[in-house]
Amino acid sequence: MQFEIGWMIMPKFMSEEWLDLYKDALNNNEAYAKAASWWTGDFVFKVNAGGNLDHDVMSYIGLIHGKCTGVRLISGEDEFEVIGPDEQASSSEKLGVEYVYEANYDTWLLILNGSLDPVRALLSGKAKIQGDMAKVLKATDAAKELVRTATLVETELY
Amino acid sequence: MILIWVIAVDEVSQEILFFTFNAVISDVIADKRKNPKNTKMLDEFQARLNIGLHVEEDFILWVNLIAENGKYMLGRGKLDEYDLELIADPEDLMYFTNGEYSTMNMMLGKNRFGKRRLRYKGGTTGRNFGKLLQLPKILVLERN
Repeated sequence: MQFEIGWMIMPKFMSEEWLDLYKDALNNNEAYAKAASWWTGDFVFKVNAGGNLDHDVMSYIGLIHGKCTGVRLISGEDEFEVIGPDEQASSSEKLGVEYVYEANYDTWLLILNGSLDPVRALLSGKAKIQGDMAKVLKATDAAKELVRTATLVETELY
Repeated sequence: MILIWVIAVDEVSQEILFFTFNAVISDVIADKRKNPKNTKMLDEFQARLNIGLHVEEDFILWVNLIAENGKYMLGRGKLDEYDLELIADPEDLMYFTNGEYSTMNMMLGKNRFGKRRLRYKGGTTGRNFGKLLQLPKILVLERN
């Protein structure tokens, strides 16, 4: 799904094309690579319906040692399972992820345009996270870069 | 289009913030327990704390933390009988917990509302500043 302005084609937020660009942006982000050099733990980003978005959107972001190992769209909550470090998903058909970062679309918009810090979103009740908080608290710089990188991708909004 | 963040700290946001803060406390304590050197300290710390989460200029979400016999329980609202009252922006508390802000930084620095990052006073059981000084040992994460 793409939107064209003149020569520039912008992918829709959280579409497959957008996720591929996001993966490239993450892998070219030296600040993220440095901040997350020790990090292992995959994420699911969940965008809850709201504003102009009439359905929930979820995506998987694979993350190891400062690099993004893969991205993909997720169609339902039964496709993944939140697991602890070194744990396996209960079924081979499920993705095991350590974290789910979730907010409604309006909050994501504020994060994407830089007017809301993703950590502040979490600590004001505008966003929520599932997963080991102690580990993610040790990686706040990496978490911020993870989300800030999304602002670097030219995006068509809903 | 410029979007301005207008916060309405509605009941849902309050519930999510409480849930998040509860997860922070329980996961931090669990992480500290991974180091056997912390076991005695975590088991012996007894306190009843009223904690004001200063989320917006004019809004504080009150929660309470009871540490008793090695258990740490977070509840909504204020306790009538308590040892200490603390008020802080939850974001600053997070940076305190991950070691980015020192105790001095919390006590002397200003938050985004122009107030001290950590405001504290004694409780109904006394001044209890000893318990205040123990808090970094309980709540500050160890770097691996």
